[in-house]
Amino acid sequence: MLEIALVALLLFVVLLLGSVWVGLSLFGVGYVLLTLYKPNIPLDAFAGKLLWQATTSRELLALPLFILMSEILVTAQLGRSLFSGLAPWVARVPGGLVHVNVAGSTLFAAVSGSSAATTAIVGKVTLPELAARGYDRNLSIGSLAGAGTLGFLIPPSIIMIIYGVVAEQSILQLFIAGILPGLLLAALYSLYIGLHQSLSGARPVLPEFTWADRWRGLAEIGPLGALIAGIMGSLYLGLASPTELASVGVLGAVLLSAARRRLSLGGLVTAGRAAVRTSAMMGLILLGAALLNAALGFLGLPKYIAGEIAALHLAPFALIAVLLAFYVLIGMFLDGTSIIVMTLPITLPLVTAAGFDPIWFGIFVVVAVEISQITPPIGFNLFVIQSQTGATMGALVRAVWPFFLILLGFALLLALVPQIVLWLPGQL
Amino acid sequence: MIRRFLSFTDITSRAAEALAVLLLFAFCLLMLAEVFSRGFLATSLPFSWEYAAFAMGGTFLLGLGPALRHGTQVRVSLVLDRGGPRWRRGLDLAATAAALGLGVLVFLALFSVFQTSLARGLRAASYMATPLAVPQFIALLGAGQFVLALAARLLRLMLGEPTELPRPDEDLPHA
Amino acid sequence: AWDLSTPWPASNFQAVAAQDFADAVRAATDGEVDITVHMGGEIGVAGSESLAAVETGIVQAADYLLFLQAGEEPLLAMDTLPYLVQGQEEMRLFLKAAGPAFEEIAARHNQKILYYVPWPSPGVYSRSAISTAAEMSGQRIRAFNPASFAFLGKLGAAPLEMPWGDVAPALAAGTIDGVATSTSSGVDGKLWEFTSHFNPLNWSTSTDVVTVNLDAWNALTEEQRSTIEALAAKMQPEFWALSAAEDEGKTEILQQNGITVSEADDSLKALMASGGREMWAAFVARVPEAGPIIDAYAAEAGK
Ligand code: NA
Ligand code: NA
Repeated sequence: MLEIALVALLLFVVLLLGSVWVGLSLFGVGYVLLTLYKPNIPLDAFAGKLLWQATTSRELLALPLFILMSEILVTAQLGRSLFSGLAPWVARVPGGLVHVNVAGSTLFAAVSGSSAATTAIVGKVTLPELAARGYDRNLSIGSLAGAGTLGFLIPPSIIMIIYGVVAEQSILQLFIAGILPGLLLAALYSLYIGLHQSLSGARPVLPEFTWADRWRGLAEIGPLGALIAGIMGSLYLGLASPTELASVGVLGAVLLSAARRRLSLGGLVTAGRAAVRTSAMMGLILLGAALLNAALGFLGLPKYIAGEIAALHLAPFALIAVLLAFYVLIGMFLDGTSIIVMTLPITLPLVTAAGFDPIWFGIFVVVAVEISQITPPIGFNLFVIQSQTGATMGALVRAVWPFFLILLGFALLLALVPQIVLWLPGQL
Repeated sequence: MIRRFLSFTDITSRAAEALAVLLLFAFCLLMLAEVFSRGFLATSLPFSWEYAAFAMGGTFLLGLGPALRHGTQVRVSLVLDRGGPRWRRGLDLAATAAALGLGVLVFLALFSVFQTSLARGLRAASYMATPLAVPQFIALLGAGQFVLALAARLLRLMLGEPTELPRPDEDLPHA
Repeated sequence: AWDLSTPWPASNFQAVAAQDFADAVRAATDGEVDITVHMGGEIGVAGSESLAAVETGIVQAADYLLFLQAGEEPLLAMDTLPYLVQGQEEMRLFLKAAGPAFEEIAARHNQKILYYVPWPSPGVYSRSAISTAAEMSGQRIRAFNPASFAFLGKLGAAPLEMPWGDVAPALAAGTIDGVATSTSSGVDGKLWEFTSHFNPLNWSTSTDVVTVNLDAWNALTEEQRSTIEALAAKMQPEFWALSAAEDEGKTEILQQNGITVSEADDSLKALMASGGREMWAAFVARVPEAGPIIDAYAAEAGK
């Protein structure tokens, strides 16, 4: 098992640092591992089926559609109006417009079940505007990557649904349990943004705003607010399922552009082309991850490590700390669904035996999966931002680490005060 | 000859992208149609989910090559950026060659699935029972175009030409 | 060492049965036949790909729903026909009639059937009571396979497809009115949080099968093969009992959680009977090999 782990690590390092595209690197690691350690399986047929399943998985349908929605909003210059609308309101708060990353992600997380989609949609709107206004680039990028992960914690959430199915826990309870931690995490991010700006003393110059500016701003944000309300409405009023919601979002974006007289066929095609490229970027990674995940599942590596942790017979809090370290480690290489499917059969019984509630552990695992979204080398939020800004992975890591630490601390806080998770479901 | 190959790959890239855009909007419409039909007409469209998923697979794969050509595909450039122009070019050549090899493996894997579906007349185990070879053929086209795009990138590197199209302004943070 | 894949998560009774079987085989062969059970699709072998996965040797053995392989072998969807097989007693008779054909199909795909484990019968979970034909009319119900889709349509409902992950939120919001699935899946998905009624229409019983790749099988010694065959024969009834207990226990859990279990009245029963027969005929027209099997079975079962 140690040999397999070392070979896998070596392949990762060579391919990724050799600047082979990320998705192809994952595919390559999986391919070589299976060739070496499962020489008897017909690899072409196996890999082909996996690629086909991965790229046609119905759970993913919302992702390209939400990306299309954000591209349409940007083409119609609706992102800019979000900023000019919010500027008069948050200009005096320490951190200023960077808070739009957190506020936007929190809002959009209430619509989207995916963290990558949340990051893509908010970043598409905010990053160019923050850069144009001279905000600290690291803070802009880092807070976006961190806040984008709220897509999983604030319902609806794909990861909670997968946890619910694998752990046989109520998806409804998980959704409710995620609300309070989600808002608390958003508040922590905002707190950090405010502190960072206050301590560094760097404040972009914003013009003085009057109350008339503020009311005008509200009118500018209005349509976007209505769009999000409309999307949420179609979910909670029983029109669209969480996946179908994304198509309603696209329709809403088109209608909004039309209402602002910014709709054109050319604009839709431009938006479509950009959405296709971004989707394909994620598609290549999903496709490579499918083979890598299957290879690691076949070879039993994540299960083996989880089993070793079980054999330690740790005290409850120590167990949680070790599991957090374990999830951070495998979260560097695996995607959220695989993390849950491969480890839960071992970790869930351990944790419940130590006296933790399975709903609580669900939220804990969601936070662990959020961490995996922003840790290199395989972090989906990082890839989204990389494709949007062209920033190097090194620059992204430098920008993101404070938010990684916030998430880490937040996970431990949940272990110390489980009521943050369990209070709200207990009220219902 | 080389010129013609390169311009051929660019034509296929634009065609693949156009088809992918079409598929993306089509499956969006399909899902909207399902929402509308189920919500207001109390009839569900039995093909909506299945065809939408197949169209998404087509979008993902047909977009691979265009995304590469436009520099949207992501890679870790930590080591690449550490050296001079010669080091950069050498490593980029090696990485693109390796990627070409892996791209061919992706193509072959999808080809084996497509071939099995075609030879055995396999259908989806669903109400629509779609012959799988049809959507898999579209996916295969995408994988094939990706291989072409990788080969073209390798050629351009060897010729010392720029490998990626310039990004349009709207993609840049300083719009 | 064999790999056995099952699409079900560790807590599902089918996965439990597969693990029990693997453990029993290991013990009986002194560890010489060591089967690793991969659950919940962790190695990426989907439910509908299992026949092919065993055939090509991706895994040496697999536990899978027979009807999910209908894309490869249409005959395997026979047990989804409404009113054909209802309950374990009839499944026993049905396998007597259809077993040889299934074994032939398995052999054609380079594998051998070790044992069958039927699922509890499906019913309809709904937000409002459904026991009459009128109440069934227009209900938007999530179907779980092609036959249930067609059957619900014949009952006047508005069947639909939806990924399982979307079902819970969609039920909660009233996007859909109900879902057709077994008692096990209903308890696993805690459907009492979104629905208040369950009508165990019992229109069909479907079975899982555990098969082994023939190359892997033939590589065993004569003695190992007969040991495993004997184990399969001995454990199959235990697994069937597990399934029956599952159904009973799960219905009780549903009721304890406030679900009203109702029955179909004569109007709905009449609709079900006529709809079911039509589907038999349509199936035989599409898959002629099914004709003699269905006839032989129907005569035996008095259908
Ligand atoms: Na969300
Ligand atoms: Na990661």
